[in-house]
Amino acid sequence: MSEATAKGRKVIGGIDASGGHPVEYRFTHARSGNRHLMVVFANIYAPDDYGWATGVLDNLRSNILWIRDRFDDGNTYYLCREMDFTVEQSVIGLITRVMKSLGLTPGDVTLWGSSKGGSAALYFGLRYGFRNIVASVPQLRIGTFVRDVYPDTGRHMLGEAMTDDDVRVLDAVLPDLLASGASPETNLYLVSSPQDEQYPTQVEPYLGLLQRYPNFNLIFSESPFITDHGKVTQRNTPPLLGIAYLLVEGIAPRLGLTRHGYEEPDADKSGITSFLESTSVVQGSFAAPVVTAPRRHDLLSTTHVRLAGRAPGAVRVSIWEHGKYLASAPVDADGGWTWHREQPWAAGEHRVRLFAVDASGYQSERTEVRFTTSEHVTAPVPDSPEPRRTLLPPLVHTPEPYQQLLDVQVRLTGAANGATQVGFRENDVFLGSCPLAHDGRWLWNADWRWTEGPHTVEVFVVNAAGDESPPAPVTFAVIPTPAAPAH
Amino acid sequence: MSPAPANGRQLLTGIEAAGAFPVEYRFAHAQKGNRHLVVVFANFSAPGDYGWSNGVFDKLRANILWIRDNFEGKQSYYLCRGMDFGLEQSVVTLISNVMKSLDLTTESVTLWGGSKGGSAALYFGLKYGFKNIVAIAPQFSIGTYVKNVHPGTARFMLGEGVPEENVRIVDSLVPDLARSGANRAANIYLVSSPQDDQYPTQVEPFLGLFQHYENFNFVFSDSPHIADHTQIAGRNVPMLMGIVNLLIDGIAPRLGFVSNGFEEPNRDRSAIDSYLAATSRVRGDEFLPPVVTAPGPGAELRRDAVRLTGHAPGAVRVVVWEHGKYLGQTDVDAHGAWSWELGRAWSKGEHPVKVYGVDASGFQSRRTEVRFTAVDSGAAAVAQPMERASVISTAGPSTTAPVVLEPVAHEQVMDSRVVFAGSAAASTQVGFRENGVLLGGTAVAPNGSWSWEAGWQWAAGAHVIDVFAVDASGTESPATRVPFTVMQTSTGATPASYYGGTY
Repeated sequence: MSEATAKGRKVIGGIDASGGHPVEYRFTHARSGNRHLMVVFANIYAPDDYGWATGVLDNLRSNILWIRDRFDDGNTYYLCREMDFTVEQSVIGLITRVMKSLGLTPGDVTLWGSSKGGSAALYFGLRYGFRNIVASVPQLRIGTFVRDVYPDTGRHMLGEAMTDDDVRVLDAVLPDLLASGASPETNLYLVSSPQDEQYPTQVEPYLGLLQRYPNFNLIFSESPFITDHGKVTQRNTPPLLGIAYLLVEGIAPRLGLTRHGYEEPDADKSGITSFLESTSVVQGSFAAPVVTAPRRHDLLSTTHVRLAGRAPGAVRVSIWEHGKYLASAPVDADGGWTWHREQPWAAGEHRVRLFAVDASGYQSERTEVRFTTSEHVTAPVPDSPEPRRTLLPPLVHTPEPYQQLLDVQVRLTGAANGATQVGFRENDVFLGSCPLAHDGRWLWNADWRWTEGPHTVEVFVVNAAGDESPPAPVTFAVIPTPAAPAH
Repeated sequence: MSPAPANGRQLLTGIEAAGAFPVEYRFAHAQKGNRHLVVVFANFSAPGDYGWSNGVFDKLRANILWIRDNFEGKQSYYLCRGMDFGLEQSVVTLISNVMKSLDLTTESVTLWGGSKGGSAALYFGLKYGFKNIVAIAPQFSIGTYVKNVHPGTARFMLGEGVPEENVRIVDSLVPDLARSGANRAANIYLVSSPQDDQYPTQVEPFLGLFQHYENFNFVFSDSPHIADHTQIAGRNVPMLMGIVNLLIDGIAPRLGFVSNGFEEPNRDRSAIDSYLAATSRVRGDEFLPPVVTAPGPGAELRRDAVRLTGHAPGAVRVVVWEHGKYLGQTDVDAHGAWSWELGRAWSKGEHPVKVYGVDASGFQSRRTEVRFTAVDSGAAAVAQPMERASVISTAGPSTTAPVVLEPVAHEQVMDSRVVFAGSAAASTQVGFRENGVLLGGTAVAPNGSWSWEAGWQWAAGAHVIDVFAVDASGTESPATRVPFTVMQTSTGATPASYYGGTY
């Protein structure tokens, strides 16, 4: 029965039945030749009575031995069944055999666990002299604790009666080891919290004994995320793993007695948010480049697409299609830019996105140009030596910008040069057109009644060659004609 | 343009243009209210000139500021262009603006980088008083290093011609800070390796400068996975993540001068492998799989009347699975017999069901498969399990090989249905193997006799069957070998050899 963890690390299950109680375990081999063994004891409520077995230790390069705390269908703190301590003997038998099979010594072993597992890590570590102990929120007075809090476990460990004598024996197991100074070389790492309701009875009274150990480290976690015993380990998983990553390298960090936590989940973020906005690469105040060619929805030859436009204030225009960078076109001193692609475009519709970049590297908002290329469109005659005259947008005389007009009064007038026709668009919808008078003036009345509200009409001109000018927009508001007064 | 890493942490990109040089950065907000800032400087070959930006910090709860080392298209150690240290000023402006915007002080900032980035972390950390500095394989003599190894960077930093006096000025930047005891209270973590060819010139001569620092830590990584300078960081990622996870929580570990590494990737694993095999949850021949006496292989059963029965000596329960899914389990009685029903109707069709035994210690036997077909009510008669005694003998001193009476050794069996029979005193079961493959088993009657029929037609040709007995404690006897030959029968089946393998 081997299962693979998320990282593909193979976990091997087994049972060491050479002691008085069969001991179930899971094991995973070290990676990259690491020479350390991590032994993991389970907390109460650990799934299947294996602790830290949800993949959280996947990146740890050491050998890992998870031991199941399930003996005769009950939890035992890996210690005893009705005061019979052959459970402990069987567990230490397993640890010793795995350690020896790996050619390791107790100097290469870390015992690890939280809550019930933390008590076990402390007990086995001190009693049998392993190098490192990491215990998150352990119980140090085990007997009283199981009798009062987990009576099922209490009866399982102490016997049906849970006699006071036996409770006292179990209570004394850990404090006696500490008092005797067992395994003074051990590196001890303890995590606790003032928000752990067990702290005053299960940890605090023993800090004096613990501090006699030369490398005793306490992480005292004052975090707003800790509401009770069960949350301490969860909050402290990153620093605990930090310690583990160092220990399995043979490095025993000295932390001393540290208080930490003090997160501010509701800290005011306005300072950093406004800094990030004001220095954001994309600056809203930096105008997007204007594309003058090709025009929207132009049909072009695949080999002759010239992109041109204006980007005042920019040093270059960055050109992308479908999230892929195409090119960067330099912007000349008067703000103009142009780009022609060397290789032909694929036939079909293209949506090219562009943004301008200034000298500091800030980027404008994006703009988009759409055009279609076809292999069946013949390329235009190469630029004639005669300079092409640009067709200027028409001048709009009326309405004046933002003028309010009655719906019956809307009439667009203006003038244009070098054109033959004037066209009108609103929201990309062609509205109509009118010819130019000889003197260049034009006048257009829509043959419908305009809807109430604001309108922005783009006016453009077309010359005899079919060139279209850039549009001249005009915005005005239409108000309904009041009803005729009653008789 | 903010790429999101795998775990959905958003990266914001920006440019701090308040200084003489625009400084590009990426930023990720802290998670879970963490109040620390990690500033990351880039090494030489970092993609996009951002260091440690491949997702390795995705789970780090701190605010993270990656600074790009790309100024006018060149790398600069975040220091200077043509000896113009306005570049350094622009970088520290960015750091302090971000720090202040987060309402943090230098006490809550870690500067981080490898190689070139390590030099920058040391320089900015010592000079501007940031609390934590993590420098992996940095260069201390930056001028000489760029002159010899990165001439393009040298020209950009030190000016055309790379004047010697400029080389010396930049060489002394970091050592002078350390020599003067700048930011003596900083927590400094330096990582190097004897396999780094830069160690003797770029690190070792400068370690003494830190002797008066309050928390100077040096990790000397003597690892077979480090072949050169560029592999130090990769080898030490977990340890470095360990350090940074503590630092961002306000805990500064004291490591002192330590060595790590010493891995043995090719170490002989036979001892642990044999221990794991010996304690494997799934046992081998010492714990026989359960014998399924009913249904027989290929039996057709009514969907609502399927009962699995059998023997599993040595087991306390048997567990039933199908297609990798647990179906149920049942206890094995004192005589080794068990019987199990699903408790609901089976789906129509063939069911390959796997059964294994579990003993009192939790060990499992190998799997026995039984295939039967569930059919609708009335379509098939309930297959009658073979009548078998479930009483076992507990007398007798030890298990001996069973006696096989039928077939006789080297017998030529005319029928493709071969019946085995014999006696096995003091045993509870006999089993049958061919070429090491378990074929099946049967219980031993109280008088010690047994008989077994495979339930399939034996292929024509020679067979060698090992028959073994198992006693109540699960101990397997030596095998009795029965060679026999099944002759071609004339029951109408086309001889298999006819096809000849031409299709």
